[in-house]
Amino acid sequence: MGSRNLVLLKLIREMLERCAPGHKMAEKTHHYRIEYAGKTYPTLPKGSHSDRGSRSGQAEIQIGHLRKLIRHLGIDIECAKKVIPGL
Amino acid sequence: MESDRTGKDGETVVILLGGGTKKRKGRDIATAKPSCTFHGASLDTSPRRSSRSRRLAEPTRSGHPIPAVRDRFASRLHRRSVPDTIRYRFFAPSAPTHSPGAGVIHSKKWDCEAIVVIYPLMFSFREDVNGRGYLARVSARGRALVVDEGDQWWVYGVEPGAIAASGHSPVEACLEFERSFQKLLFDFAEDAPTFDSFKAEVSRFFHERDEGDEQRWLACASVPIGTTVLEKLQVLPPSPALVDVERLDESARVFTPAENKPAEFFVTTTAA
Repeated sequence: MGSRNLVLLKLIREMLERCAPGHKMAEKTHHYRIEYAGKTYPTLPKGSHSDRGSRSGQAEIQIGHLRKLIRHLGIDIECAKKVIPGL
Repeated sequence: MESDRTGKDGETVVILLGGGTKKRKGRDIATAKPSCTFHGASLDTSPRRSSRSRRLAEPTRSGHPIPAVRDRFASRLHRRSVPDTIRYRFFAPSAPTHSPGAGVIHSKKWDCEAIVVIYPLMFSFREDVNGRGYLARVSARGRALVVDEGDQWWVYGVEPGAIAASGHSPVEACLEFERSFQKLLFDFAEDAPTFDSFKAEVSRFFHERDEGDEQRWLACASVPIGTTVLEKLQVLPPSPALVDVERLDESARVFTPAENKPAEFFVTTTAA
């Protein structure tokens, strides 16, 4: 899967639920802010489906952003791959 | 089947499976001068020559550690019968002869040889931000990596580490990176009730490094730079990352045109 491929927001939420227990995810005006294990990732884009997509989880986010998020927050990549195999 | 040879002036001819021929100007794998890591794979200067290890049991889309590699070649593999011997070479579209950080990645599972171009970058931004009852100026100089991931160029923040952006070219990715940084400051300004809390949040974000990417940045910056550099970007020695948040709406503040400063990006190297 290339770095431009898109991942549904609801899959990212599911991955965080499973692989980053205790995380906090907050929606800001321009980005999502995710806190986990004492680190913060405040620049996850809101994706391509604006407000409606954010609510329904259908917003799509480039997988490169997700890879960076996983690296920065120290989330177990093998766990994340079980939810999002293309990582 | 597949074979390869090196022609004049570093021209490499790779004959792919099924008789397809790919001919590209570029350096040979043997001349690559890697020094950094990419997605956890080890980089090695020596070309792969062992035929035994080129055997591929069964190609799978999920078997390769490099996403761009999987994407580009997996579909081709699935259309064909499984070969008994296979080797791939990948060339970045504009891999310079002695680019900083260009290297060879060997994957034991797939036995790929790939040149991945990674540039250590420094950037300098100045943004004025309206907050809740204050006007702030953020001046930042930070570090990032510019990576060609095959389908897109990416800029990954090192210091600050929690930011990334992409584009179809290095310059487009850099501009998107700046835009993302600016929007993040707007998010901070919305949440911060006072200038002091805004300043604290910006400082905390900026100095939260990505340690993995920092190792790659340091390794890539130590490679001597060649004559060809990333498009339109200068090459300058590195300087320490820093961020300064200043309040502009105080009474005695005098503004001058000398304070105007555009965003800057440059490739850096510590090597002579």
